[in-house]
Amino acid sequence: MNNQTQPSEKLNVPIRQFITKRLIGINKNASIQESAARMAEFRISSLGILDESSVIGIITDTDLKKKALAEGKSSNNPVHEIMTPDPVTADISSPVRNVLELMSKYKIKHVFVTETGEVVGVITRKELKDLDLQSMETYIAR
Amino acid sequence: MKIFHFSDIHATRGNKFRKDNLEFIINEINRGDFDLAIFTGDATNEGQRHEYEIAANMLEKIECPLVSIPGNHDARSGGIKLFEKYIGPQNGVLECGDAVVIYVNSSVGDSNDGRIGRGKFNILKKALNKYSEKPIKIVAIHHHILPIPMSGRERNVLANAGDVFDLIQRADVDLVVSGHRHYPNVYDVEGTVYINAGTASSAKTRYGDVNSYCTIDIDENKKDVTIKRLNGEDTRRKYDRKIKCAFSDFGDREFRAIHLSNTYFSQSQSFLSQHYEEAVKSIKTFDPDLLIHCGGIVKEGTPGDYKFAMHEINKLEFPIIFTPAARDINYLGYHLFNQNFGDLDQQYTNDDILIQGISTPQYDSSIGVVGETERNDLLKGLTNAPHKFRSVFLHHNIIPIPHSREKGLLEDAGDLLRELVDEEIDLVLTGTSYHPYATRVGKTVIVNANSVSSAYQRSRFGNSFNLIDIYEKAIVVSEINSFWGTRKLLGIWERR
Repeated sequence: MNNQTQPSEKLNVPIRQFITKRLIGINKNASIQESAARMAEFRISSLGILDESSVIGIITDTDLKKKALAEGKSSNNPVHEIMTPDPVTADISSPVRNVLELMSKYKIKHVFVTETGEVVGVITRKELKDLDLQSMETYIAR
Repeated sequence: MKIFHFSDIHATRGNKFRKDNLEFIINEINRGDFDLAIFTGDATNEGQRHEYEIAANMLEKIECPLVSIPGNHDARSGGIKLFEKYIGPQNGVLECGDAVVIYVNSSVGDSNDGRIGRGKFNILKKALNKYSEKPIKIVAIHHHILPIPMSGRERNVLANAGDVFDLIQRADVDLVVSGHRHYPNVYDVEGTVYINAGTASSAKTRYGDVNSYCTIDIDENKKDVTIKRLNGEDTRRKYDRKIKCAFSDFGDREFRAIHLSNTYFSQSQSFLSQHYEEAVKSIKTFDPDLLIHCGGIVKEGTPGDYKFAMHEINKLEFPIIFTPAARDINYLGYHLFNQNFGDLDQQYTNDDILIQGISTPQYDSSIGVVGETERNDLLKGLTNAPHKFRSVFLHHNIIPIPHSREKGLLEDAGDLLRELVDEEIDLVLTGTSYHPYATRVGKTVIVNANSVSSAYQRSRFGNSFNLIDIYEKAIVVSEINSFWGTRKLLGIWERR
């Protein structure tokens, strides 16, 4: 995804070429406060919600704001109360285009990545933008 | 599924070719209940017609489906055309039951070097995409991708091994089978098993070893790999097919290190001062226990660059340990490094953690080498260390790094990698090739750092340093962009 690559080419790149096959998560029975602390610790905007080793949901910054803080929910409540179950997923072989289409269709910023049906990571809209940030440095840096 | 893998038969006239051993091996293939046999190159010794005739006559006796690829010896004297005539295509795909074998010719005519050029890289990439749903994915390449032990100087690793390695790792390949080095070896890299079968029938073995081959049994959960030497000695290992990707339990954080390299301190334009200034601010926000600088501190080992470096380094208000790159010890740097930064082999310890540096550059030379004596001392120190977490840091790479070429590879990487993996060292940090990378070989996590503030860097993510967090139950490695402070997860691995 360098400057020379045309937008159409960028969109056809399978997401496996740049995602890291790892997901930071938390147990479904952990508290909302613990979940927020984990997101702060890793400076991430979403968290996989796990039941044993299976990913069953997602929470995002927005969920913390809308479903916990705005609703006056206690931060001691279990995180699964504010999670979105059955998160939107894309197969690791999908092109970027499909992921962007999913983000647009569902108005979301995070899509879980699956491989042979299992969740192996997450791709965010910000990550796609980060790849372009480097091209701006040369104009800003002294 | 049962797979038979053999390599480097080196058919020729005379006693360099142990025909009896190849006959024994072919008999083993036909006697066993194998679904597939893979031969990974060097059918001949010099690419000659009479050698191809011998090899083809022998290989024809194999009764199960066979994939054969050429090696560097087959490409000698224009022999690659004869390979196509007598043995088969240079590149291709074979579907066999649940498995697909994608094979590419890595030989370069009249050279021992290996390369998968742009065309073949794309063949490999497209085939891996096309067959991504296949339950068992196998890649066959003559030249080894990971450095092989007991091979002397590591000069003939595939020139673009880093890119091929990254492509294979991302495609969730089950097996990568190779030959070239006449020494059998197996590594598990996050669920992908890299096998070198040794030589089936060449008299040229290493360290007085005997001829060898490999059998692989794959089921839904395990890969059962056995290196079989012709003296009856078997080495058998089982590997899990699936790796853990989703993590929910980390435990408490025990240690936080910043891993950086190639600051390139100098008054030249290749030192990106604003990137460094932003990185310093960012590092402070992480409040690390230790900074580990894997070399390339200064642009050149001159008094001016060192003076400038001391001024800049003082902005990092945390304990820091260093290991040099060649540029740090060239010219007067040989003396200036010691005067300003201390010993060549530096160390950090606390009750639980040992982080041991090992100097690899050579004065006025671009090669990297540890050396047998130093390696033995290093291993002795690590073996005797009582710490529950043991780590090594050095400048040169011990695994291939994407977008780099073999020049960054340590000359005795094959031996060092094998010994560190066998000793189950928890973490190895390196700092060259200007591209970040992190993976786990066996039980050893290996992390390379990009350049923090040099104009010479190769990552689309930009200049960066690594954040290494050691939790009670996991090691978490992230790349932090020097300029923007953005964070990208490079990997998480369970603690042993």
